[in-house]
Amino acid sequence: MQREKILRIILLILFCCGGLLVILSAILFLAEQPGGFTREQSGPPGGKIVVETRDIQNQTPLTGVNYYINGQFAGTSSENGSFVLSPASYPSGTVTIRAVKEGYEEKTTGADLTKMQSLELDLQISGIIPVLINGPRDTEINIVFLPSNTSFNSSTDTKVMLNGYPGGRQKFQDDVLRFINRTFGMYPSNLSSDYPISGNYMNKFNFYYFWDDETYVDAFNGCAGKIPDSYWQKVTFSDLTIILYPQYYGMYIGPPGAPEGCTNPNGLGRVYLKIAADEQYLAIHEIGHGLYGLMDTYCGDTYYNENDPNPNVWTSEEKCQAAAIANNWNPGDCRQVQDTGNGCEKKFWRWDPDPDIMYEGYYGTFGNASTKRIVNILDRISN
Amino acid sequence: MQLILFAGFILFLILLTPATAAGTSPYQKIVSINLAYENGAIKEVSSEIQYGTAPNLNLQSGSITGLLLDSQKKTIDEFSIRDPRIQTGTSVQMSSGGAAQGLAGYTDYNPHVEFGVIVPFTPDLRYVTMVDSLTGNTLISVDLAGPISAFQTMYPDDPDMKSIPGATPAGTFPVPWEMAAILGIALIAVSGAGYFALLRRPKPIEVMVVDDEPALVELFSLLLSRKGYIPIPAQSGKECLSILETHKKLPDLILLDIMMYPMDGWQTLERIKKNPSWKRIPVLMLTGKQPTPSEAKKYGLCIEDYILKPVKLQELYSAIEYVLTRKKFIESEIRAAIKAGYERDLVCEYARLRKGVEVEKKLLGILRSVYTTAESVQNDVTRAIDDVSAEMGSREEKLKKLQLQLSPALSPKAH
Repeated sequence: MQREKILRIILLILFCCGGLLVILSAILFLAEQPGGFTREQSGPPGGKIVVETRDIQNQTPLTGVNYYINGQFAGTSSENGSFVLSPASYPSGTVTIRAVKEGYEEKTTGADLTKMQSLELDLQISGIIPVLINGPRDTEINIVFLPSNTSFNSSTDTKVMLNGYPGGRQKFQDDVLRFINRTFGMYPSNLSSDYPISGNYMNKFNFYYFWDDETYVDAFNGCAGKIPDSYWQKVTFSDLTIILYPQYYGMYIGPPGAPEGCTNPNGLGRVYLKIAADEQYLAIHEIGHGLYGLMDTYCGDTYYNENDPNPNVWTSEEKCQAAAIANNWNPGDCRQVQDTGNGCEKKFWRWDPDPDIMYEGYYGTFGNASTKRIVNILDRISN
Repeated sequence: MQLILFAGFILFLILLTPATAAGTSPYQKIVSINLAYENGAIKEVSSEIQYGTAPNLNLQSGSITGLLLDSQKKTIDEFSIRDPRIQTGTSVQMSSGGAAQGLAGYTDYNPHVEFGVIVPFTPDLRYVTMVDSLTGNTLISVDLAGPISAFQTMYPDDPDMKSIPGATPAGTFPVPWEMAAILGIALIAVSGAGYFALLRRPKPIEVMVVDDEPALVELFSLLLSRKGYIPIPAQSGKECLSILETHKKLPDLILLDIMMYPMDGWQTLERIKKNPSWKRIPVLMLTGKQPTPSEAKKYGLCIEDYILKPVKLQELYSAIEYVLTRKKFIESEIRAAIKAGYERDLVCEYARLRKGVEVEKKLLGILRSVYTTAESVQNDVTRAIDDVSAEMGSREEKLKKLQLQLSPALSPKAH
């Protein structure tokens, strides 16, 4: 009897739960339908909302702005810069509006369509300025240049504060172009002919610089400088960011003086280096670190690692010789990373012949090992 | 042939168009993860999904391998980065004469450093895991469920967000309405069927045992329980009536002793049969007392059976079963007769006699067996028994007439 009572109670509870679930499903179903539970919206007169997008600087209407409502493409602004939105298409009332126009920073804003008749969006010109563009960002090697507003005087071991980048935007742009030609543009002349690089290798690169009149890097805040977070928020696609400062004053005589060039691995999409705009060979050397992951081959206070695959330093003479044999190089050219002059010796071996730019820094070329690595990396880009 | 070539060319153009028009899709998304090295371990600072383009995954190589995993932890893609704690600087060393003499190294090792990882987002991406390339140890695994949910909340109509399996937009109910409806209907059906089955189940028979000997009450209660009956004990006629008044459900049958004080079984029976609510309860007299002719005459039509103690267990069970079966049978005959249009009084009279004659026959049998004397000796008892027999005989005759009258409506087993 007691058992039967308990069973009846359980069955009743299950029945009630089932009933509640059915009611809940009805509520969920209705909520998904257009109009759902919403009452007639007391929306704007005529039931339309006009979105006007302007250039934030000069307030001119922007045409060709693509709008995405809640993530879905909704249309493009007309010649007068306006876009008409129909609230009836968005029964929830609250939407996310994303405005995208090439050359401008995209903007996303939330809007309650039941409470507005119009919306004004101001778009900021993008600080990402194209210099040489050869293809879509997602298929190219993207290099972005940043200006520094500091330099360094090694003679006095002091940071030199500058008024922005000396010469302003035009000077920076000129420096960038010259830098590209004197570094990336030098291949294949400074590469080993044993590993030919394709003639149109520059087509694998996109070059940009970032300029918004207010973002400067202190290239001498730490080894490689400090880039503001706002830059990384806007520039997400960089394979290498290069901080250019105008000039390094004086001669580096050792710590605690700041180095002329420095590479900060900093993760993926955030690798950067700093270098003086007028340094050619040291820049090529630093790009060897920053973009290609090459190791220094001089003996000193630096970082060594057998950088597989296609290393340019090895952790033993045997490994160096084995690599040499496998690549048809002379294994006898393997030598230890050392400087007998100052008693420096590292447990790493190198093969590339001198003058190796990863050894000398201020002159030299890339040997077989370094070239093989560089070409292998460039070949990963199909253009 | 020309048509085929032309169609092939058009097809080629169609296939080519998406490739050339690829450009940078406005729906391209990235996962931006901010990390920090602290005390030798990597911790997640923040992670989010945003529109944008990611860097190339396959340019860098280093001591840390990054894996992009789907929800089943299968590798979708991978990348490699160098140790972010180590910055390497370079300067040209100059001699006192101003000539360059090689490079001077500068290593900056920062054990507490923040760094970032930006990877392309695809709908199947769920985890980003980083592993020490040398040891294989997992350094960190970032679950993207939260960022995916946050992005879906902001951009619910993004084409990629709609196709993500299993991700639930924040603020929404995790169960789709179809599932809730199916589950609800299933629960209602199961519980309804269960409840219906429970209702249809034969209810256990409740048998009240009335006897002033507690040991007998307990014994009969135990025996009845074993048979699946629900015993209701009462140790006096008064208690029996009290239980009948207060019990929500009336018993299906009463086993009634006679020799009780102050209210004996017959008195109790009279009270039961006088109450309109109780009079239909079948009463079996279960007693050690032999019936008298006057008792048989007076109460024969009121009781269902007269069982003499001591009683065999099987005999008791059989008696109870027979009474209940007969009751059901007579009730079905009554329904059939009334349905056939016979008068209710006629049918009820038949029902009363149908049972009563049977009981009286049994009582008569007991009387004759108890009070047997030589045929030549007639006394008051035998004369009383003869009276009972005569009365029973006339009722039997009446019953036969009624059976004949009602035969078209009665079941074939009626006799």
